[in-house]
Amino acid sequence: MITKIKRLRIVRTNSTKLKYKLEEIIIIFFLFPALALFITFQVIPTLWAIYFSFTDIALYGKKLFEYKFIGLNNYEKLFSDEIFWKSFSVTFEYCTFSLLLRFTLGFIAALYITSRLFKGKAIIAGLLIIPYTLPGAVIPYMWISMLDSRYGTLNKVLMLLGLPPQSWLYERAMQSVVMVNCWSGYVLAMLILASAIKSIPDEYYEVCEIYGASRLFKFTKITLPLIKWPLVLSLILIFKEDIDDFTYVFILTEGGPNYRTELLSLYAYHKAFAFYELGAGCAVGLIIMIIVFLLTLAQIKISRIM
Amino acid sequence: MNTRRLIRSLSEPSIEVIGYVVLFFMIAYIYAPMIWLFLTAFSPKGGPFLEIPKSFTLENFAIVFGLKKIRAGAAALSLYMHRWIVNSLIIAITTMVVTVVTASMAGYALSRLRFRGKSIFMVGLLVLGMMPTIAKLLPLYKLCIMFGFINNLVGAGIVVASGIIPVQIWIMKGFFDHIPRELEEQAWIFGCSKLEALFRVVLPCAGPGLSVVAFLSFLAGWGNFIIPLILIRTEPLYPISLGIAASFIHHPGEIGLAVPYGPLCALSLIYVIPSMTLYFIARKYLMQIKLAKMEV
Amino acid sequence: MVRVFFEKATKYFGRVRAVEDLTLEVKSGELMVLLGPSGCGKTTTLRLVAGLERLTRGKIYIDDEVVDDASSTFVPPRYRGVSMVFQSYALFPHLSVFDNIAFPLVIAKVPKNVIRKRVYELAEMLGIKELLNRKPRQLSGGQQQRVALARALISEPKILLLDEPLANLDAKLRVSARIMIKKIQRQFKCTTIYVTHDQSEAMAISDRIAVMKDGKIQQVGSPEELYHKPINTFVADFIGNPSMNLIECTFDSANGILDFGAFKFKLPRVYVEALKDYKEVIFGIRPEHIIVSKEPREGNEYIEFRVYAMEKYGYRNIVILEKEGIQITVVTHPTFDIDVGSKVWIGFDPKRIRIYDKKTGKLLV
Repeated sequence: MITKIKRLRIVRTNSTKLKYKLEEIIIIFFLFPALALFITFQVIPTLWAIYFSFTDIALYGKKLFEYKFIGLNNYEKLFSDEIFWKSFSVTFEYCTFSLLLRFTLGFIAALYITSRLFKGKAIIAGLLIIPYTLPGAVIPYMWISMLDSRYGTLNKVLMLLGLPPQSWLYERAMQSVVMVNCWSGYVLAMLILASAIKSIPDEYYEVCEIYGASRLFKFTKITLPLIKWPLVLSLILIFKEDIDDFTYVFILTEGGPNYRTELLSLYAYHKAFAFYELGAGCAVGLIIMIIVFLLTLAQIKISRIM
Repeated sequence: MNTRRLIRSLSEPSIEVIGYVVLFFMIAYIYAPMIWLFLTAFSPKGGPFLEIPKSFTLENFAIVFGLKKIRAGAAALSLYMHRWIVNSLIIAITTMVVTVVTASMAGYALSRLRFRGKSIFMVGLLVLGMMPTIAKLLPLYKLCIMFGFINNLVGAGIVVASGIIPVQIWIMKGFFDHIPRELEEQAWIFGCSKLEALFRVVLPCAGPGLSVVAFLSFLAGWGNFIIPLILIRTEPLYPISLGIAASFIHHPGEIGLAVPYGPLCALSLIYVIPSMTLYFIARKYLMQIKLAKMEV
Repeated sequence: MVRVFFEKATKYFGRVRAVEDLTLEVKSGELMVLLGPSGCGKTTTLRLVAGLERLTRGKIYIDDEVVDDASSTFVPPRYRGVSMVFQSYALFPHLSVFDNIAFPLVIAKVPKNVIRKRVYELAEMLGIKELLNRKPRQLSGGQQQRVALARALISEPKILLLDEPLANLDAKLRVSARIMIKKIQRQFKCTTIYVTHDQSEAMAISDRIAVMKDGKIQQVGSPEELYHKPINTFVADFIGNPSMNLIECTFDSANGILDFGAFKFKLPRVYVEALKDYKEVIFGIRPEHIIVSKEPREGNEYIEFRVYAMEKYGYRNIVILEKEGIQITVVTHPTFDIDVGSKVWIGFDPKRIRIYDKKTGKLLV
């Protein structure tokens, strides 16, 4: 027969009832650490930034504590500062070119890793993802070595091919920065588009083959329409990421030569940490925030449609 | 009619050729910069530019780890390289621990609790988390003065964690959603208190999710540049990202010549390799789980 | 061996009335089946016993002690002495089969050697001893079910709750599995509540069945009771395969005749008395209780029908007959062969006739 076990006794005292009630509620408290962390170090600074942008707070000295509300003063100063507008247009230029290059490269890469033509797709996919996995601080230095005017690898190769060497970090500063950004930036588009393309059922293409459609037909009439929304989503995400790009520009050109690559984020940083005008820096930050916020709304709308 | 067929028969194989050519250029674009890093790390007399080294050596790595002193005349910063590695580790581990604990707790609560406006909450969390760093950074500095986080590696780790928390909560919630409530109910029936059920049943099942979050958060801490830039002010405390930036003193167009490139590249390799491997492992986990999810 | 008692148990989910005023006694040691269509509240009832849901109104007693009285008293699941097997089995994927089965005892801090012995004994009893080292995902459906059972039984629960345990098994396995469940229940002598929507399962395995619909109990009784005396048209239709023929007709109390429109039928005198106040009724008779004849029969008791369709199952034939819009299903011996469209004469076994009130559906005779 079965081994006997001690009868599992049922204990019901008042204290256990209380403990049980406590257990039910405790789960709500699980949210608190994460929320506390997030609110303290993300939400509050954001709100402060909005507030500070209306004050004359400075990073050092008296004004760090005795700042006063000055209304839209910071903004007026910004909008009359020609460097601000230069930075604004530089950022726009940067984001547009970056978007084009990142998206195109990403799309091509996505086509590679989802195509039925090429072999060794998994290996190629792995190879193509690697730039995304490297820490951002190292990437600019690899490129400095490439881009230097006299000894840089890129110019050496160009000269080998008989093409004129360029002054990448000076004359073509914007292009260099865009090149560096896209070096690891195309992966985002690649991943989104690849997964979108993979989710198209094979049957659609097989039907095309039965009727003898060309590859161009398959691409334009089947692939493109079906990945329409993920495509738009990737465009928004890329643009959003690029607006507050900081690390690469900071290291490569520091806003370089004559503010020609002074992105808005860099401008804000300089305003706060170089000129100590914390308030002005926050004002720029707020402007960036509004743009990003609008883009995020668009992003969410599209995610809902998908 | 004939020309169309001609073009079609031409385009089929030639697309393949074009494809391989483009792929070649892409691979060149990607791997050319890395060659310099790799070669200089192993050459005894590395310069700022690509040179085929005449010999291979592991000396640079020894210097990085402080096992060998560098020649006089070179930047004294290199004395701190091994400390930089430790600092990066501290930040990364702090970020990882803080993120895993808080995000899993919050993810569990969000998965199991039922309340109105839950979806708005989740979306709002994500939206707030997408605000550009630069906007938050400046007041963040002031805040960190208050907390004593300036020149504090653990503090930097906590700040990095706070930034990635919304996404990690989403990931953990997704994992917990896939663990059927029936498993917990079964545990309750068999005598577990709610907490016991959590630790004995839910957490083990969430293992893959916890791993993914651990990897991603470790990488966020390991690779972060902007937060330490603001918070860490003294060289011995630099993480590798700041250390490299500080060592490669340069003005655009001029590369500093007193910089020990060999050890720096070695350090960069040490910086880069964990990043790459951890990303790939995390992806593999993610793939496995996605596949398993679809089977189940 | 304990008793479960529901006293006017009511459970609302917001505005959804899952369980309404349920009063039911599950006797000590019996296997009670909660039977009904999807959404009738049977799973909710089970979960109320387990303590996974709380009552909105009413009381539940386990072992004659109040475990839930919809207000201040609520005993959480782990103190109720119940064990439950879910439809999905809910085996812990990260534990081996051995650890899964041992789980309740590990929580109860039973000494390890005792745990070992019991796990082996139960595994032996359920025929899963070879699987003890495997993980749940390596097991087949039937094996998983037996592991879930072993795990539920290992703590010698006072009450065993089973939620559609056979639903995920294929047909052949279902029969052997339910025999095993019945045997084990007898052996362990635990009061068992078993939820299913499959009436043949319920009839085969239960001591008593509680038929539920829309959160209310329609009838409680042994399988025989439910088969022979279904208390309303819902139960009559639900139990039995093929289900009881239910045909609307009008009762002429003066002559004791049921008028079906297409034909008339004279009721045996015993029934006429009970029906005298009723006019619109429903006539019920089970397909098995209809006499079919290929030869014409005379007399009032026999009615001519035409064969509409026929299904042959090898061990029995199901014949659907039709007459001017009224369809009757009959079950016959497999040798009864006839062409579709030909005439047959049927008669009703008088003792098996059931009459229901058209308005309320309740049994009159």
